[in-house]
Order: sequence, then C-alpha cells, then structure tokens
Amino acid sequence: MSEGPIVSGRDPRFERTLYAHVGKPDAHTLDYYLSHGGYEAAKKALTQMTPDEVIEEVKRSGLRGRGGAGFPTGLKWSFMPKDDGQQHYIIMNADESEPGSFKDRYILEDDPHQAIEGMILAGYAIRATKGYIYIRGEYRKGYDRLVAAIEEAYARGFLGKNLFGSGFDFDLYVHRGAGAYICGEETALMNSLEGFRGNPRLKPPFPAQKGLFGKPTTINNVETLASVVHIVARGADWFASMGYDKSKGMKLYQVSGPAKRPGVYELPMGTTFRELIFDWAGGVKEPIKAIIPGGSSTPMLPFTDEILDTPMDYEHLAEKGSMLGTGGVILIPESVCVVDAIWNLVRFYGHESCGKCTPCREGVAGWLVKLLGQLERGQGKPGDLELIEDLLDNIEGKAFCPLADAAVWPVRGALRHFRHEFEHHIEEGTCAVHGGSRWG
Amino acid sequence: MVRLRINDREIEVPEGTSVLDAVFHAGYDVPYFCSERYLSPVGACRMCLVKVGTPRKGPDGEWIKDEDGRPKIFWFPKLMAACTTRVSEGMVVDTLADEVKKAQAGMVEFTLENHPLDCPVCDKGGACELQDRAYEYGLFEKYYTETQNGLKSVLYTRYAFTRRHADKHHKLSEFIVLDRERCIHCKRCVRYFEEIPGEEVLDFIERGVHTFIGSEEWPLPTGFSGNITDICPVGALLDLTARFRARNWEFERTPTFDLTDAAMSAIWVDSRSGKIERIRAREHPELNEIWISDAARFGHGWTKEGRLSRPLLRKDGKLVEASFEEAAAFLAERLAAVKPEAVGLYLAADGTMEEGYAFAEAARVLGTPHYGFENATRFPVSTLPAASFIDLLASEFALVVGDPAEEMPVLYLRLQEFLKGITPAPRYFHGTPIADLRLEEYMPRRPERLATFAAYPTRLFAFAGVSGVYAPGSVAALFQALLAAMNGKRLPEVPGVPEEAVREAAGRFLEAEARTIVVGADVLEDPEAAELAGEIARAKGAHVIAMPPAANARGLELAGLYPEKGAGFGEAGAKAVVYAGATPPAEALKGASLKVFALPQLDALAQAEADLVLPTKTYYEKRGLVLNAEGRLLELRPAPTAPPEAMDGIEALAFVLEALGRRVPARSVLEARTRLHERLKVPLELPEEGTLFRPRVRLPARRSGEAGGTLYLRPTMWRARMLRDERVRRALGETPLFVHPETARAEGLSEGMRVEVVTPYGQAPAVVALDGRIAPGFFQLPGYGRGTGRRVGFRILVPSGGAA
Amino acid sequence: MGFFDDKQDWLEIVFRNYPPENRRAAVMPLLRKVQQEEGYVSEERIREIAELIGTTPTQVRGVMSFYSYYQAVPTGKYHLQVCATLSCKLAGAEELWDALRAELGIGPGEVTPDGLFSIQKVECLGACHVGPVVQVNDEPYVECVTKERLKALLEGLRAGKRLEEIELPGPCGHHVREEEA
Repeated sequence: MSEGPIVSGRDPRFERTLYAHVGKPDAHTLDYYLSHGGYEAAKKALTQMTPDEVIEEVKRSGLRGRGGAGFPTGLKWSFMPKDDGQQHYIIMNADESEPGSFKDRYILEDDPHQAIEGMILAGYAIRATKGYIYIRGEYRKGYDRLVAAIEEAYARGFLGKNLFGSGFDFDLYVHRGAGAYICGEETALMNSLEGFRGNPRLKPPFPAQKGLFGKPTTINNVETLASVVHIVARGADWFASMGYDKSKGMKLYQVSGPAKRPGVYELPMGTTFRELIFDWAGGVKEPIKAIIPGGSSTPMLPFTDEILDTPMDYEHLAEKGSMLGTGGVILIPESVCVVDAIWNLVRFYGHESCGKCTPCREGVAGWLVKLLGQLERGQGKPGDLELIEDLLDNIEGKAFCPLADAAVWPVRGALRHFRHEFEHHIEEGTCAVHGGSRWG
Repeated sequence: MVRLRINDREIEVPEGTSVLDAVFHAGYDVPYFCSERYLSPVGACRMCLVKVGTPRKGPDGEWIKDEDGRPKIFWFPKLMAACTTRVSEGMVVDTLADEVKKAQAGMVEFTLENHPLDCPVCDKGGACELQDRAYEYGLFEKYYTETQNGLKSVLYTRYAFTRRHADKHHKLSEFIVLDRERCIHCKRCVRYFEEIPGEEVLDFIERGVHTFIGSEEWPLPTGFSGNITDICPVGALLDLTARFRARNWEFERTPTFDLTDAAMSAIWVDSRSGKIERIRAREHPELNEIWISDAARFGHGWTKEGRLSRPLLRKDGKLVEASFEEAAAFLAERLAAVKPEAVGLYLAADGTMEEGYAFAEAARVLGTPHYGFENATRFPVSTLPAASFIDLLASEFALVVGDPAEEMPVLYLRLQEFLKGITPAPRYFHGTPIADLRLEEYMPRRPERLATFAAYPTRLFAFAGVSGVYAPGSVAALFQALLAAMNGKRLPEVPGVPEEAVREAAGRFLEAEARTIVVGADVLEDPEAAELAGEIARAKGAHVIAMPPAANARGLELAGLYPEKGAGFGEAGAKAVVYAGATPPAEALKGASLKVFALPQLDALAQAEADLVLPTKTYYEKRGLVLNAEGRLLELRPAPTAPPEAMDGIEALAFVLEALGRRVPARSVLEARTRLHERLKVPLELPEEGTLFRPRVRLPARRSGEAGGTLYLRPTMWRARMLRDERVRRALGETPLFVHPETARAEGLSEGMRVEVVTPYGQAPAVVALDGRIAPGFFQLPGYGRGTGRRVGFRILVPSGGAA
Repeated sequence: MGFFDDKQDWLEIVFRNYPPENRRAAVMPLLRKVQQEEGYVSEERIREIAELIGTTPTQVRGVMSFYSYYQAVPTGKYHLQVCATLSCKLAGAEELWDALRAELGIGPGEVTPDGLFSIQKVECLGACHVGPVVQVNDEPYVECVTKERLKALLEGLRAGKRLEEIELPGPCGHHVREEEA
C-alpha cells in the first residue's frame, strides 16, 4: 500500500485536506483557519510565485474541474489573456444543484476560508482582482458563513488591498441564486449574475475572452478551487501522487440512497465503489441493484462486483459507459422501480430546462417527461421504447447546452441495464418491483 | 477571405461569415427559425444543424494530410448549428448527410409537438416559415394514422399528446395580437425590441416548456412595434389591421415605397378586392433594412373609407356628385373670371416629382407666383447636401437636433445601430447575412457618440451622452452657441440649454474623426439655424441628414415647386386655388373665389369650402419618382386599389388647365418624367432599389410664413389623415397638450384637464399634460404632420364643467 | 410608500457588489428582499425594482419568473419547500409531500386559512444524504424529515417558535466528518 499511486483511503500515505476541518467546532472562523495553516498557501503564492508559476503548478498537478465536466484547470486558466489592461473576474461556482451532489456545501458552511483562499489563488493566477461566489440561493447557512468569513478576511487584511504586501488587490463578492439548476452552467451563471434570465450564452466567445460583464472571466467549482489551496501548499507532486493516469488528486465522493452512513467522503481519486460504499459509507441498508455513479446526469450502472471494483475516476468510469461527474453516488435499491426513479430524474431535467432551445424545451421538458410519465403510470404502448431511443438520438448532442444531454444519459443508462423493467411497465402496466413505504 | 467547401462546391466568403450564410452563398439551403437578418444569431432553434469538419495543423505548422495527400478533415463530434459557427480556412460542411436529415426532421417534429395545426384559420398560413420547413424538412418517412371512418390522415409527430394550451388571443396593443400556442420560441421578437429600437418591452416569462412571450407594458409602445409581425416565423404575432382580411395567396402584393416620412421606407402593399389591407416592410439594405415605423405600417386604414370615384360639385351650397363634363364646364366658366397669374397650384407633401414638375411648369405657363407644396420648410432642404444612412454608420459622432423617432423613424433605428458601432454587413449571393456573427444580444450602446437637442425630451435622450431641451424658437441660438464653442468664442445664451451641454457637445463633435449632423423641422423652419448647421458641416467637416416634414421635399424642390415670392401652400393670396392631395389651413383660402380640391376623400375643410372636388389616387396607387431625405431616387409602383376614375395629380392638373384652355405641360407620368430627364438628367429607368441622385440645388430661403405664436407643433410619425381610422385613434389615445407647470398655473390649467385647442388646422380636443422639462411660456401639441416644428397662434377653450 | 424607500443604506450596499454600470445585476438580491419580507413579489414591486435598476418591468418579470424561489402569488408565513428529487424520493419525499398536503389541506399556490403555511415541491436542495429535506422560507434546511420530525416541525411553527428553537426528535447524521468514518 505504500508504492504506486495512492488510490485508497486506507493507504497510510493518504491524508484528508479538503474536508480535514469540516464538522469541527468553530472551523468556519478565521482564527481556527489561521491556527491550521490557513492563508499560508495564498501568502506563499503571492509573495514567492508569479501568476504563471501558479498556473504552471496547477497544470502540473493534473487537477481537473470538479464540477462535473473534468476540464483541466490549469489549462483553463492559461486561456485568460495577459496584460490586456481589462478587469478580469474569477467566479466560484457554488451553485451545487446536480441531484446526488452535496460536497461543496460543507466547505462553504464549515470551511469558508478555504474557499476564499482558493479564490485569492485563482484570482492571482488569472490576474483577476475581483471575484464572485455564485452560491445557490437555498444554501442559507453557507451564505451566512461565507459573508461572515469574507467580513473577517477583509478586517484582517486577507481581502482588499495589497494582500501580504504583494501589491495584489482582491475583492470578493457573494451572489445568491434563486432556484435554477441551469445556472450551474457557466455562461448561464454569468447571465444570472448580470441580472438576466439564466439562459446559457453562445460559445464562442468563451468566458476567458468575454465573460462576466463582458470581461475575461474564469469559472471554477468550489472543490476545484479548494484543491488549488492544497496544491500550492503541498506541491503538484503531492497532488499527482494520488489517482491513476489523467485522474489525479483527492476527490469528494458523496453517497446517498440506502447506505448505512450516507455522506461525503474525501478519498483519493481512483478509490473503488466497493471501498466507498462498504468501508466508508458503512455498507447498504437493503439490497441494491444500481448505482448512479456521479450525480443524476451520469448513466446508472448495475450493482455488480465488476462495477463495485471499478476505480471511481474519469477514465475507468468512461470505460464502463458512464462518468465521474461530481462524484455523487446514488444507490438505487432493489425495491425501487427503475422506471419510477428515471422518471423522477427526467421530470427534474424537464423542470430545470431553461426553454431556450428546441430539443431541450420540447424534447426533454415536453416529450420525454410526458412519454416517460405515461410509461411510469402504466399507459405505455409497444414500440414506445424504440420511439424513446430514437428521440433520445434527436436530442443528444443537438441542444444548445449540456443540460439536454444530462437528461438523455440517465435514460440511456437505465435502458441499457434495466430494459426489462421498462418492458414490464409496458406489458403489465405496472412496476416490476413494489417496495413498501420509504418514509420513516 | 476564407475558402471552404459546402457539399460539392468550393466557395470564398469574408472572414467571420457564419456557416449558415456560407451554405446559402453556395446555393444550398438549410432550414432555420431563430436566425433573422439584422438580428443577432442565437443558436436557439437548432434547426440549422449541419455536419462540419476542419483540417488541422500538425506541430510542424503544416496541414495534417490524409492518405491521398489532401488535408485530412476532422469532423466535429456533434452536428453544429450553422448560424453560430464561424467559417474557417479549409472547412468542409455537409448539409445533405443522413444524420443531418434525421436531425432536421427530428427538430421539425419537436417544433410541431406543441404547435397547433390551425393553419386553415391562421393569418400566416401560406406565408409561414414553419409550414414551409415542416414540408421540406419534416419527417421524411411519412406516418399515417387511421381515422374512425377508415380514412388515412398524416401524422406530423410520432406521438399525440395534448398540445400545450395557452392564451390564443392575447392583445399586445391595438395593432398586434399574440397567439401563445403558435409561438415556437425563436425569440426574434424579444431580440428585435432590445436590439433594434432599444426597448426591452417583450421577454420570455417562466422557463422550460412553460416559457411564453410576455410583457408588463400594455400596450406595447407604438413606434416600431409592428416589425415583430413581419419577423415572426409563424402566426404567433399578427397585424390586427389585417386580421382575417385575406389568405396570403389572395393578396395582390405591390412593392413600393412609404411616403409617410422623408426616409421613404421600402414596403409591400398587400391589397385585395381593390382595398389596401396590409402594409409590410420590404427589405432595402441601405435604406430601411427590414424595418418600418408603426405609422407606415398600421396607418393605412384611411385609404379605405369614403373614397371618391366621381367629381363633387357645389350646387346650392351642397357638394353633389357630378360628371366630369359638368365639372369641366363649371371650371371653364369660373376660371374665366380669374386672372391666370392669380391662380394658386398646390401639391401634397407626398406628391411625386412628375406631379411636382407638372405643377411648377403649369405655374410658369400661367405666369403665377402662387405655387408650392405641403409642409415646405422656410429653409429649402435641398440647399443642404444630402447624406445617406450609411454615411451615418461610418461616423464616430452624431449631433442630432430634432426628434428622429417621430420625424424619420427609420433614421432613429439607424441611430441605434450607430450607437452600437454596427457597420453595413457584407453582401452574399443570397443578399443580407441571415446570421451576422458581428451582432450580439445586449450590445452596449455608446452614449458618448451622441449629443441631441430638441424642444422637448425625445426618445433619443435616453441614449445620448449629452442632451438638452431648448425653448421653441431658440434653435438658431443653439447653433450659434455650438459654433462659438467650436471656435473657442464666448457662448451666446440658449434658452433652456446649459452652457456645459453645448460645450460638451461641441467638444465631442470636434474630437471625433467623422461626424454627422441630423437636423429636423425645427432647424429647417429657421433659416438662420439651418444656415449655421450647413456652415458647421462645411467648416468642420460633417455629413448632414435633414429630416424635412414633407416626405418628398427634396423631389418637389428639385422639380421646381419650392415657392419663391408668391403665396405658398397654406398661405392666402391666390384668387383661385387648386389643392391636390392635401388641404391647407382654412385661413389659406381667404380671398379665394374658386377652390378646387383633388382628393381621395373628403375632409372637413373640403366639405365646407370646396367648389369642386376631383377624385384622386393616394400615393399607394401612383406611379412616379420620389427623392428621399438621403437624396435617393425611388420609383413608386401602383397598388390596384384606386377607384377607376381616380386621377393622379398630373391628370387633375391637366383637367384644370384644359378647362382654362391653356397648354398642358404633361399629360402623363411618362411625359413628365421625360421632361425631368431632359432638364435635370433624372434617369428614365431605375433599379428596384433606386439610386442616389444628388444634383446641386441652391434655392433662396423664405423669410415669410413664421407665425411666431406660442403653440409649438411637435413632429409625429402619425399623419392627420391616419386619425380617420378609429383603431389609430384608440392606439394614440387622447391628444396631450404639453405645458410647463408654471405656465399651466398662470393659465389656470391643471394636469389631466380636458380642453379644446383651436389652431389654424381646426379645433380638436386635448388633455393638459404637465412637463417640467420643457420651456415655460410655450404650449406643445402633436402636429400630426401639419405645421411640424412651427409656432402658431391658438386658443384654448375650457369646456364648462372644467377639469376632468 | 415604496418598499425600498426606507432601505436606502441596504440598497447602497447591494449596488456596491456590482460595477456601477451594471445596476441590473442587483435584480436578484432586490427580488429576494421583497420575497423574504412580503412573501411574494407583486406587480407593484416589479415596477419599483425596474425603476431602481434602470430596466423595464418586463425584464424584471422575465428574470423573476425564471427562478423557483420568487413567488408571484402570496405565500404563508411559513413557506414549506419540499425537495422531491431522487435521493429525497428514495427517503420517502413523495409520502412526505402527500402527508403534508393532507395535514395542511392545501395544494401548491394556496395558503392555509390561518395564513401560516404554503407548500411547494422543489428540486434537489443539495442535502441528498439527509433526505427528505424541507426548507422553510429562506432558512437553513430541516433535514431527515421523518413523520415525527414533521409533526414536531409543524407544531413548533404553529406555536410561533423560531426554527432554530424547535427541537426535532431522532438522529440525523451528517456523515461528513473524518472521525465518524
């Protein structure tokens, strides 16, 4: 266990960083943060490194965006123009809304200074003197904690003018969402922040060219920016010692559904489902038949040994026909009808479709919701599944933004592995399985 | 230029071209709903998905080659929306692949999922983009369903859910109705309002499948709203003036030009059974693009009502129908008593150049100094060299004195483009780019490019870096001050305008490299101001766009109808008058013993005063040349709606001259045009889009005609005759009489008080509207095209009972 | 009197969060303020906000109607938002919703006759491990809403207690701490 990449939480070399202080009393205060090495990474970067060196370090670490798409963070930062004389912006995407995902929330609530420090680092690297944290409106506690932390940071000189005597100024603002999943899409988020409807924008121009308020902008997920703090503090090599190939570092995995100890677990990238579910989440409360591996948009996989032993990272999950996504694992028990579960998700995407483009508005929010709803109620007809698959083809890859695809993939996954349950619905007009009450 | 391949055709297009335009340029078709010329591409409808690939360069900087040694094409993993994808060197586009066809059919199916199939009762039927595209690109395998009686009927979608139900008759204004079920969410109308007139009065409400078009402003502000009925790809936004008047294929479509204002927008006149039912914008890229004002679009109702088809002769004090022979005999008898040099010949502001020539020539033949045209300004507009809207777009700074939104609405839209820094788009084989990637939603308008002054705060004020309200009559002082500021001299006082505003406007004017001065009726009615504007333009270098209140002012002045010494249109002096196409204020008829009118329909003055009324055509029904404010020569084409006996101005004039026994200068449009050709080198044949025609003209300004009263008549895009239509009256509401609160107090008037205002043009009701931003001491009233920019004498009658 | 007339200081702080030329960026905080204090956003408030941020009421309504949080019709003193997405569904959210409807006798868009409660089904609140989740107004979540906890919650609210004063029976673990693993 002490050679090769660190791919297990049991590896003695592994140490929790992102969630090291989550849940501890007063972890959200500046005093606590400072007494645990807080703002040392920012001080180091601002006083000893150039912005390009920070970007280089992040590139070298192999960090990829933790919001779901997995785009290399250092590369994304390097797209920002240099010395263009314009205001640049860094935005923290704290609009955590993907069903099954709740990892960023506890950083915001229990360790907000970690998020602030990540923002300072990113702001320094991309030469942004202003940052916005776009936090989903429902995260009231996270918002309160963030605002208090920012106030503390300003009061003690960790935000504002001339940080650490480096000459670098950084102002940080918090903007609350108001209930729209689509605002997690970076261009929709910018529209929302600017006071427009949260419709996604055209790309190009990309945010790095023309983003928030028309200025060069980079948007990163909370976990991504928190990871940067530790990359700068401990070095890219430390980060890259965790995980396989192109999936490096630690990851916040989340477990929901009937596990004994559902929650958030910080583990090295490449940890297996089996370790996460059985070693960390305490095993399952009832028989499980399927896993949604990385938030609701990732295609579900059967609960088999093969899948349980699959490392949870970008490449291994792609091999199994699914995705790492946000690392939000949802367990689907035997007693729950897959059609019912999928209909719930499709309904979710339908509700959250912004309505801008035809395939999503009419295809996802209109047709898919109606047809799956009909199927779920036992009013499906023979041929419906073929029709659904044909219409999935007409949606997938054809919409304006990834939301429609995010609605297509779970349906595809369910049809691939649990087609018989759909067929049962059509033939028998009812679910293949009937569980009892799930409400305690 | 960029070279690329569309299917089998190699083409070259300018950099920045969208794939959509490249496809059309290559002669292929691709369906689209959300893209529209002159609007920003948004990629929302996903109808224009095509297969796109590009070559790539290797690390050595050379193209990566395929086995045949040609640049290897790397296809994008997904189909791309052609409207929002930029062309690149060596790109390959496939619009005919099976996957493209499947995607297009799928998208049509999605679009039809919630679109009602009520085409048989839809005004858009037969002219509907969705109908066409569904037919061309819809499900290529046809699906049928069997009805109860065993007949087969076609299925447009492969599933049959209850369609979304929504408000089908949602009136947005007196002119526009929205059918929310038919809306396909292309967002053209929403984008139009924000991008073109700069009014964010429509938006999507709710989201997802519940999204609908809505507005919190009721009614939609009039001015430019009607254009959304043209650009709606389906029957969701419809013109209420034409609602259920005809099926699209039943209309006679006449391409001509609008003569409501001097911009002369290109229009389609849609008529049926001899009546004008609908006006639509016609594309003219240099002139009005695809936009027209609401007045030009919705103001046609008057043409239908009370049209004269026979002469009316006053007998025993009453006007009665008479034959042309009777009318001729009557004229001969009565004209014999009048000296030829005492005859006055007057033409409407929308008279053609041929008519103008005929009238001017007839006046010369008769030896009378009394002639002219309606709304001729005291300073002849032709004296200012014309500039085009394209010149404005090439400028960096504009000084606008007047109210373009009302005086020349299309220019107001061009000013919006100018504020955003938009220059004319490249032209393709298919014309204007359908997806011009230079355009974006919410493009910032740059207020520093504009300074504007007017006698009241205009719509343009909201977009200007510098603005100021001058007191009516002090526009010459404004130009003196501007010139003084430019020359570093002491500034004379301009009533109402702070010195700072003048200095800033002058400063910005001088800083800019290229400039345009826009002047309206206020300036043209004040020869000193107009001279100064011309001087600034000459001395400092600027284009001038003048907005004359007479639509064809430039054409009629060129044709020789600008009066010099005698009584002009609306001025008393002639003993016998012929008014063609328009009637003057009543006092102009003082001392005239014979009053002949040539009108399409009676108005109150003709009813009371005319000795003879000849039936005439409206400008929609005439052939002839007109010269717009830019000096663009255009040819009117007649819509088939005139009563058979209706004459044009030339025929009416010939009728009068023959009765007099005098030589007729021209009997037909062709004859008059030939004379114009001989004298002025006016072209005999014109291209469809017209041509710039700017001979140098120097006419003396008229020093007469300034009444100098305290009622200032505001410019309006609406014309008095349009108010005959009840719908227009409802839309415009009660006429406001604007007055400064101090002045109101002094006069015993209060906000909302209903009064009657007696002006030279008659008596009309108005409602007192207090406005602290306008100069005290004056009253301001919408002129509806009569006396625009002038100060006239008036009386206010407060009905007993007083305030409302 | 306008809603914001006596909130000039607050407005100034909000507007300071955005560049001065982008006043409309403040539309969401302004809408939230109205929603928090009045329970819904009336036409009158839409007009007021439009005036403050320099845009049209149409645009404000377009933005407002885009988000689930802002309500166009009045809500109760306690607006109960029940998460209905998958993980909460697996924890019984649907039964919770039905029970809540039955208990209060109202549907979405309605308010109980005493003016206390209104209900809304919302999408994933980001507390999937502690479902089913209910959010009261703009307050921190009420998690693991079992039958007993729902009963206690409603009783507490009816008794006029503040949310944090209400004692909810039974455990609700946040399995996010290292030492618990």
